[in-house]
Amino acid sequence: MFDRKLILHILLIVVLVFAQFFVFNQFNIADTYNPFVFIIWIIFYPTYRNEYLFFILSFVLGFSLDLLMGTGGLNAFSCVLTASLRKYFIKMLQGAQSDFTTFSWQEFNFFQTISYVFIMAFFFNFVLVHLEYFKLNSHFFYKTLFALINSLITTIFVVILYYLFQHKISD
Amino acid sequence: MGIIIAIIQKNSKLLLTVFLLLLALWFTINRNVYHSSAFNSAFFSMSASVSNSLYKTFDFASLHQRNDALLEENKKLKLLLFQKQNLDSKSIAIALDSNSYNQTYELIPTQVIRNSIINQNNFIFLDKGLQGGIRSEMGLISENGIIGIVTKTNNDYAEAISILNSKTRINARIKHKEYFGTLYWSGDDSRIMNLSDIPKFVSISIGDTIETDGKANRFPEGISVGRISGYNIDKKTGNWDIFVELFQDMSKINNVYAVKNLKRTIIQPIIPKEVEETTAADKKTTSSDKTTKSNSR
Repeated sequence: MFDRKLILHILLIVVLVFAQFFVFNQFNIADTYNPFVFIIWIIFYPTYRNEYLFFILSFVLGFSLDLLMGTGGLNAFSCVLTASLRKYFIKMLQGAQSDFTTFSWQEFNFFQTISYVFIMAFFFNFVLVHLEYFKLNSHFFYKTLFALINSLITTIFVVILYYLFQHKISD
Repeated sequence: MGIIIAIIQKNSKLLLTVFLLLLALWFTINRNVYHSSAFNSAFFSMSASVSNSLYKTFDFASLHQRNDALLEENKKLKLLLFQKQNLDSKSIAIALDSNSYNQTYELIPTQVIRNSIINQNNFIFLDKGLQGGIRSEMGLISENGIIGIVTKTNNDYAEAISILNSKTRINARIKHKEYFGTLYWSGDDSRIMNLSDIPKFVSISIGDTIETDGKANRFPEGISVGRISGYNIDKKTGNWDIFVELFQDMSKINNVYAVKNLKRTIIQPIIPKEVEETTAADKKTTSSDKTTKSNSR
C-alpha cells in the first residue's frame, strides 16, 4: 500500500492538476469546451492496487483542482463518483468473469480502450455539468449535449496520451 | 456491537465513498462561506497573480484586435468632441461633468486578466487593486455596456462578479420610460439576461433599448445594456419577464472602466447611521422594558 509507487502517483497527481489548470483549461475550443485531461489518472489507475487509497487520492485530485479554480467541491464529487463506479464499467466491457487482481490495460483492444475512456469521460462530464447546474428543466438536454461534446474532446486527448505513455501507465 | 463492526467492515469501501462524496458536496454548497474565509483570501492573491502571469503570456495574440477596438472607441469619442465644440463652451463642461443627470462619476481604466462565461457563477479578475484606486462595490463598464461589480480587492488585484452570475441583481429600465426592474442572469445563455418586475400594463416591443437606472449609485444613469429580444409573462408574479440581448459580447472583454461615484462617500454614511440609531433605540426600549418588568416583579 505505502511504497515507492505511491510517491510517483502523488507526483503524477500534482503534475496533472497543474497541467490541467495552466494548459488544458486555457484551450477554450469554440469558446466553450475544455478537455478534462486530468481524469486520465482515474481512468488508468492500476486495478490491483489498494482501492481505499484510490478513492482518497481521487478526492485529493479533484479537490486540489477545485481549490485552484474556486469551484467548491464540484470536481472532487465527480472524481470520487467516477472512481467508485469504474470497476462496473470495466466489467461491462471485459465480461463479468474479469479478475481485478491480475487485470492489465493491455487486455483491452483498441475499440475497448476508446469505449472505456469515452464512458468514463462522459460519466464524469455528465455529473460535473448537472451538479453545477443543479436544476431539472428544459435545459437538461442542452447541458447533456454540452457534456457529450466535451467528453468527446476529452476522449481524443486521453486516448492520444494513453498510447504515448502506454508502457509507463501499465503499472 | 460485533455485528455493527462486521457491517462496517463489510461495507467499508461504500462508506468511504459516501463520506468523500458528502464532503465534496458540503464544500460545493458552502462555497460562499468558504470563499469569505481568511484561508481563501490567500488563495485569491495566489490565483490573481497566476492569472496575471497567464494573461501577460497570452497577451500578444489578441493585441491586434484590442487595438482595433480602442481605435473604434476613440473615433466615437472624437466625433462626440467635435460635435460639442460647435456648441458653446458651457455645454462641454456640463457634458464632461455628466451633470445632465445630476451625478458625478470618475472612470478608472483597467484590464481584465481572467474572465469566464461557462460557469453558473462567473468572476472577473482585474489588474488593478487598492493602489490603482479600485474599491469594492464599484461598478464595471465597457464601451458597450455594463460588465460587473467589484467584490474583493487587495493591493494589486481586484475580483468582480460578472453580470453573468446567478447572484447579480442590477437596476435597469426601459429607455424613455419611467418603469424600472431588476436585471438578472438565469444561467442559460451568455448573450441573454432577464429583466423582471416590469408591470404587465407597460407596453413593450422587441428592439427596445434597456439602460441603467442609476438608483444603486454603482452605475451612471443611462448606460445602454442591451435590447429586448423577447418577452413573456411571469406566471408567479404576473409581471413581464423580458429577455435582454446584451450589446457587449461577454466572452471578449479586455479594456474596462471601474466607475467611481464621487458622491457615494456622501450618500453612503447616511444609511448605516439611521440603521444604527434605530437599532440603538430598539435596544434602549428593550432594556427599559426589562427594567420595568423587573421593577414590576
